[in-house]
Amino acid sequence: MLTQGDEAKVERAPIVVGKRKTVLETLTSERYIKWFFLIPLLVVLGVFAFYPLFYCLYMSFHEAILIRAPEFIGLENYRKVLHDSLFWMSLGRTAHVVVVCVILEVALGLGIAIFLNREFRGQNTIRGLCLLPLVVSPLAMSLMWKYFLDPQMGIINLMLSWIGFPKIAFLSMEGVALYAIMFMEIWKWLPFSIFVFLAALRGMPKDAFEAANVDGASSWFTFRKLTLPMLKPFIMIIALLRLMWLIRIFDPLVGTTQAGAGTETLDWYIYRIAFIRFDIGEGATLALIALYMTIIIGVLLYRQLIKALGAAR
Amino acid sequence: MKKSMIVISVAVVVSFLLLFAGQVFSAEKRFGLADIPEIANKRALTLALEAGGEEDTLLPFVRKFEEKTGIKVNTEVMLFAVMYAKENIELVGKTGAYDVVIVEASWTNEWAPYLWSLEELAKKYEPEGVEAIRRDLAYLDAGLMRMASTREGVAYGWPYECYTLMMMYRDDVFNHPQERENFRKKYGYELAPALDFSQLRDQAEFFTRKRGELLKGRPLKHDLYGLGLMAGRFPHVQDEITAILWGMGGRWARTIRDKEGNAIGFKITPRDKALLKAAFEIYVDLLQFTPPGTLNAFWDFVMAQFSAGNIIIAPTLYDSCYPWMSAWGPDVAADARIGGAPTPMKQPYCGNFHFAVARDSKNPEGAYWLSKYMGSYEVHKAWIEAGFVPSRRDVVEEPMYRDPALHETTGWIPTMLETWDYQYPFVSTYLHFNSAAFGKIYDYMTELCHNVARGALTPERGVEEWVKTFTELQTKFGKLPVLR
Repeated sequence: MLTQGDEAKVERAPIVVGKRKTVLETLTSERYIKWFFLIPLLVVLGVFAFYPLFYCLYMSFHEAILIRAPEFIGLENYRKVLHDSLFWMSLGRTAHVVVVCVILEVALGLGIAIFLNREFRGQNTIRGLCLLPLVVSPLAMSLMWKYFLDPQMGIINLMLSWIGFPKIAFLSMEGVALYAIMFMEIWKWLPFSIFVFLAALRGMPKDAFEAANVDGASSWFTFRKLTLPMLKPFIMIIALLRLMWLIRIFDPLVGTTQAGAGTETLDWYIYRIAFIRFDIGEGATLALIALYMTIIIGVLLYRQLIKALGAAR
Repeated sequence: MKKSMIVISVAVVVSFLLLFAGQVFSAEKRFGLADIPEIANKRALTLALEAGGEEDTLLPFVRKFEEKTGIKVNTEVMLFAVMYAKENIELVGKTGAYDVVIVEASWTNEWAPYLWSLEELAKKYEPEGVEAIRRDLAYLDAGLMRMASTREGVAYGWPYECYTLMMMYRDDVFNHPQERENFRKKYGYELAPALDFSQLRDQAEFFTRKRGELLKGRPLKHDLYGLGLMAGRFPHVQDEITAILWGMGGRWARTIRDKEGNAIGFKITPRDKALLKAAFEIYVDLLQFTPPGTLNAFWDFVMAQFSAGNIIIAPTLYDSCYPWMSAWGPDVAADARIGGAPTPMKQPYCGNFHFAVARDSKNPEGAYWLSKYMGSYEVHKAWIEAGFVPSRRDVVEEPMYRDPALHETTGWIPTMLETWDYQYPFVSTYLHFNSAAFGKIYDYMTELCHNVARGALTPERGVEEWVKTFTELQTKFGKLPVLR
């Protein structure tokens, strides 16, 4: 707080009039420096995100099939897509995959993270091994699982036969193939949720848990009332990211079913229409619909994340 | 009189001599690396290649071409699964990314506007003009050349890899006296490679056995299946159903031509619809005699099942798989032997890849000679010796490959030639080689056939879907209308 004497000093302080800032000072001032850092990003975003996005929007109103100039057809592509049973089926399958994978990845990831959040011999090795699926190339992963799940020669069926189970054609049985795809996806991405949860668990304040322990709270009570609320932002982060990635699920299909046996997901359908059939207009429409859905669900989850972060503070 | 007799005799002798000399001359004139003239344009070329054995086999010849011409050749290796999409976008976008592209026979009509025809190139670059190229093309199978041509008969590429569907079966089982006796008793005719799909069904049923039952008098250690089919969602499922449809005389759609022979549109006749439904029904019925996993299978699965002794007949498998089919597993009898025969009704898909020159090539001269060299005797010979199936008849008809000692590697040759010859008159009638929208239709056929195979569509519904979607795709992407 300024005293009266100080105020007088301030008033008497000489005012420098007309001192011009150098170009460097101007550019590095608070007002401009942020743009200096932002412009490259905005240019990159403009070229690689906004331009394709608006071009995609433009194309969605056209019949664009490459072999002749695009022709404006208004909302015809949207009408066609919304009346296309294959679109709805692929969307339904994608939603199924998203729900199952997110729930299982969160639940299993949390369980394994709690298990790994202890001191035990070989803990670093075990944690390192847990990370391995995440570093496997997606195509190699899908090919690997194709052979693992082979009904005649696959190791999974071999192990099942040891315990008396009949051979199962995981990747060609209607209804089972989609779960096999989900299994691969969970296998690959489970380490992501494990390590997010592990980092969160290790960063939790110890005093609250010690107090609960002193008060004689049960492990389950502590988990429900302390651990879980503190983990909520991390659950939301995992759910948000995995949702966005799973809507675009594609890789596990490449080396396995090629979308056969009832496993065609939305992204595969978009790929097929846009890059095999080269119906760019319809493909753009499908891509935009997928984007709108991702944004809507993403925003809902993001709000929950912000709420959870607020509550955690 | 006498004088005229002498003249006639001399004329006959001279004709024979000329004919003989012509053959010798043409044999000597088979185009090779040494025949490539100096190419003025030294701009580097980009060649598309299919990943796998093709790349390994062809690259040494690419290097030879570079040495001979001084033109650098960049290669872009791609999987078949992405080949259509990658090449299509570059060709249609006129980017000039590829000088020489791989064209699957059924894409020829679609890509013709983006490719140089062989005659156009020959006129520009062959010292002997178009005649030279006609002479060279005569060594290729005529049916395959038709496939590498548009519906108007204009050739666009040098076929190099062929994949003719044929039947492969366990010859040792088919010739086992007890098996033959049992089959005769049950079905009332001799066990021999099936001539039609009814016989195939009998055989499929006959050989489908449970673990512990006998095969060739010995108890089976595992379940045995009559057939190996490729019903996964890969292009092969439609090749298999096509073999049934074509064999029965049906067509996916008929090419309608005017009096001058010009194609004016496509039509799916009521008979074609009935035969397509029948083909679907036959295929779905046959699936009960195949091993688990067939609904996600392509050729690698069938090959593995066959060599592991799990199946007896692969009724519609690519001849290029033949050399790998005899890598018998430990549970297979020591006297196991592969046999080959045409597919039932002898009208399967005989596709091929050909090398064609992109219109947007910056060095069409170099691209022409490179593609021609890739279609040469020298390269096709290496191709067959690497275990692939070439398209040149002079190579596949070489006596050295008929040696019985080579049965397990080149035993497919007689069957393939029989199929090519039988099929030749029909090639022009197949939709595959007449529609300019076939790249798109092909993908849809895969989806359709797989959906019928897995029971997501009934055969009736499959036919309805085919008519509806074919009409949409052909109308949107093709050049000819679908006629009512």
